[in-house]
Amino acid sequence: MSMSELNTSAAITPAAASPVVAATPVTTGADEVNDLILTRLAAVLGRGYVIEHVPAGGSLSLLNYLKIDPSEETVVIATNVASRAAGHEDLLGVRVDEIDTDMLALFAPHAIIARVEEGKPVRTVDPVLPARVVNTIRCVNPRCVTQTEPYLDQVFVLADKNLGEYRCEYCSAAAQF
Amino acid sequence: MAQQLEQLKGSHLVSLDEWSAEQILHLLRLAEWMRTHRDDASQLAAGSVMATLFYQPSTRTRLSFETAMLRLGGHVAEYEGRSLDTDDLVFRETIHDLIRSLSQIDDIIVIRHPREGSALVAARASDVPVINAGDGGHLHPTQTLADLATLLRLKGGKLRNLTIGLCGNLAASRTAHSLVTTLCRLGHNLHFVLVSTRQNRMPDWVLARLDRTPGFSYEEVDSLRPVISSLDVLYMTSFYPTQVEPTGQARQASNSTANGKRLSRDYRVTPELLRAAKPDLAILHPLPRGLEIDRAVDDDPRAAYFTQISLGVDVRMALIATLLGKLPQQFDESVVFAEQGSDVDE
Ligand SMILES: [Zn+2]
Repeated sequence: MSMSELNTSAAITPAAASPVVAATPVTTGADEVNDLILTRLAAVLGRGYVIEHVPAGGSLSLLNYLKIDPSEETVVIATNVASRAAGHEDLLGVRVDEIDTDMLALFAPHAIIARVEEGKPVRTVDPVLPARVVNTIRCVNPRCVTQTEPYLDQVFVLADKNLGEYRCEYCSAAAQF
Repeated sequence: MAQQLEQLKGSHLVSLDEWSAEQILHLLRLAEWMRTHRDDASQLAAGSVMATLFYQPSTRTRLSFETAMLRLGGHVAEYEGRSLDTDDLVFRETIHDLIRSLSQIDDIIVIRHPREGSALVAARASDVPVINAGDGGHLHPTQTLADLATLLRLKGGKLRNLTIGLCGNLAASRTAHSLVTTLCRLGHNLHFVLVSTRQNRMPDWVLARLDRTPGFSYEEVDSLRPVISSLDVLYMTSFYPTQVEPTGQARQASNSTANGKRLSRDYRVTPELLRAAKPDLAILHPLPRGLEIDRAVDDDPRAAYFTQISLGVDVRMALIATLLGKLPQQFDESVVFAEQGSDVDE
């Protein structure tokens, strides 16, 4: 072991001694190339959001779920990009003021989203799985009461937080996306 | 004590998951009281009317509910089930409207409906308590209460330190799923022996529940014969899938042909099999049965499936009285299972 390595490990400063807390950089966990793509997406957008770890090829349907119309809003997409974390993934930038993080958590549970201001990703937003989802997922169980009582809302509840599993509030059938 | 049950006045029973473990145990104690205090119970629901609404025929369940209400001194209004049994959206009134209307007329409503989730729709529409008497292949909570009452009755008032076998089409048996998951909340130190073919295994979500419950364990086997001697309880289920609920001739046919051939000695209870069983084994079955229990077993003292039916009336009496808020003044639950010792550690 060299001296410099030793010095590095010995040089951990106690928190109280550090004069300023440095601004936390946006750590996305993707490969460097993907980081570069995200930086470019942010630069192109100016403001809005960049999203990574979207399932490969899933960008357009995700936009659909997020109710973002690509013919109305500025959208930049990189599809099927190699990624150490996910094998392949889509990277997505949208120039909107607000994004439905509930829906994002629901349909792309592994996605990481960062807000973009002045052409730079400034902070990550943690999407949280919603406890109830109303009239977004349809129950596919042919024996479910919602099939014959059409006035009912389609309600799915979060059954398992860790698995991100949703079940029909009426018949308990697992949600199929 | 009885406060746990008083809190349930005016509520529904759609799923046992909505009740606390304590509430379920208190209700089972009240059922035991009902069994031993028929005279004291006989006027509890006097003047109340219970509507039974069976979109799907189930004579045994309907009569059990109706008898329970009559034994409480109440009345029963039976609504024509068959005329309601249609999926035709044009001619059929919605569950919501029908139940909302009935709840203006009757004091408590019992519904059995082939659609999964129908009981929840009914409960939300109703101004009076609604009891789920089976919503398709989904839930049948009063069957589970009867099963639990039978276990308590036959196993010394305790749900602990037992080896419980479940045998049959465990993939499709809603009563087996419900019994196991409810025991995960009420029992202590239970070992489950799951006896089925590979295709009819207990679903993963039930096994996951067992994995998560401290003190619980299970094994999966493909024959009753090597495990019968270890069992304290054997819960048999029918081989036809409960979701489909074939009636009458269809059920007879499925039992006598395809299932009959497949139902080898590995999954049948016969007098020969029982020679190796414990003398105090309790054999349960939610009924109706197919070929899985030989009729020669019926007179064996270990056969508990007809006891289950009788205790089913007691739990329904306790349930109706509780939801109507007509609890007996004399009910002292500390003495109910006193001779065997109570199971609750509160
Ligand atoms: Zn459903």
